Amino acid sequence: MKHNRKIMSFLAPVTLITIIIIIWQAGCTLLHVSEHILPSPSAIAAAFKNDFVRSILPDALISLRIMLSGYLIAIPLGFMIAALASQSKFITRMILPVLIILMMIPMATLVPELKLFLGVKPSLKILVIILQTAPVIAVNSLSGFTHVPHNKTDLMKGLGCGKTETFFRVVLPNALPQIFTGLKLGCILCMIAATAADMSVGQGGLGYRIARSATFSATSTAFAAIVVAAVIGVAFYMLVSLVESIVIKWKQ
Amino acid sequence: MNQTDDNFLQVSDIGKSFNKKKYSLEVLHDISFSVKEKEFVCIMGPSGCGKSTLAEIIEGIGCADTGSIFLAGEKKPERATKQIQKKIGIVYQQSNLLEWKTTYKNVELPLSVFHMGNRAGRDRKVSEVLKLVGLLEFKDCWPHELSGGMQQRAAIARALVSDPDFLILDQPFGALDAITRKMLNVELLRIWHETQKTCIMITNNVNEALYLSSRIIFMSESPSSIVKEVKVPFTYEEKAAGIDLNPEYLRLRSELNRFVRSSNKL
Repeated sequence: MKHNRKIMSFLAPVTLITIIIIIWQAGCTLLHVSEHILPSPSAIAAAFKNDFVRSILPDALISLRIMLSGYLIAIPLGFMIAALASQSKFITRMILPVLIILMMIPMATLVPELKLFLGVKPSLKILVIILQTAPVIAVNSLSGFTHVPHNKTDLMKGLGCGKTETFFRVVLPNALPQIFTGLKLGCILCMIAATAADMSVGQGGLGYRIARSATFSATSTAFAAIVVAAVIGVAFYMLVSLVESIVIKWKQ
Repeated sequence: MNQTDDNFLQVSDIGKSFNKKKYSLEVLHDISFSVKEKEFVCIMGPSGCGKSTLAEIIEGIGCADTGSIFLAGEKKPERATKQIQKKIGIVYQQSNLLEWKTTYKNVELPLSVFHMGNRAGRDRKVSEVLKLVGLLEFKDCWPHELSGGMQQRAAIARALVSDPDFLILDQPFGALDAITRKMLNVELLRIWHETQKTCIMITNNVNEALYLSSRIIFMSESPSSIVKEVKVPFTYEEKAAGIDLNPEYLRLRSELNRFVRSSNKL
């Protein structure tokens, strides 16, 4: 029964994706769509085979490195902002709207402005990723830290615990599900911000490869790079989900 | 108020008001009573009379506006410290187990907070109280895997694990069905007899109060004060053997039920 359900949850999406690919391929072939306008899946596969090692892989590695650096800096940063802000209601009220505004701004649009201050460097992209992901992580963690059920804090009061001990024993573990929501949203935004930053900064990366291929009408290569970006994004998300299921054992 | 040695817990002149925007609502008005060592006292009163507020003040979770609490002759300070809270075992209205800890870890929590014992010592103590409440086989379960009654038994085990001087239970079985409640009453009576702890329990159930306690204190509607005190004349052996048909028990029960009905004006 449980085994069947596992197979189902794998088969169901794979079936849909297969159907979409078949319709796409058939549509492109039957309607004679130009490869430069919408490449068929087979053309994308061919481009992938041709260009993967030569251009897509190096760019993917650049993107991956930049994403990971940004994400790994954004996690402790967002987390610390949330932990500090949660210490006082006043600071929470003060900082939360700012965080939400930051979360809503597409940070890649600030690249021209940031270039004026920093020049064109790989660290510019990392900064864009940090600015995009840290607020999401902070907002979600903060909401976890500030919504602690009264009976749980009463339990700690009844044991004579102070603020710090209550934070580590109750507030933090209680917020873990929400913290992971933030981490998962963060890793989605991280991929989007990285590709967008590539496009406006240049200097390699999957976004750069996509934009460049599109400029030269190598649409199938652009699509192959998009597929790689999607696969990296999904893998990244699944990795965070895996960590979540290891940390949050009690919700299964 | 004179302190005497056999008054284990002394509640003296406790008053408490809640300040609303336009008016101040007095809930507790000069509540005084005392509890002897190894006694089981139940506190009853109409809903909204401040029973839980009083419980929180005794527990050290809430603070009173006036009056003080004496524990074994010593005045409880306003700020609850670990040293003092260690002497009090609290069973809350909802089981209040932490959902990210297994039953075992939940019960172990006070030992970890109070830095009591080494690993082997803690393990022995936790197993001992889990056995006392009949949950030893369920020690690796998550709280959500336990039934409501089992959760409350785990909460009792957690309150007992640090070997406190007295237990305070705030309507611990209020959310349970009648049969589970009855069964847990039987168990709580046995646990009280075996551990010889001083107990204070807030309840809204006359049968429960009569079955468990040696004394029942009645509070009036707020601003509440103590309006009646009843001694329950049955010994542990009589209760354990069953008092449901005891004529004295039946008389007392109908008298108290009448009293409760007359003081609940709803």
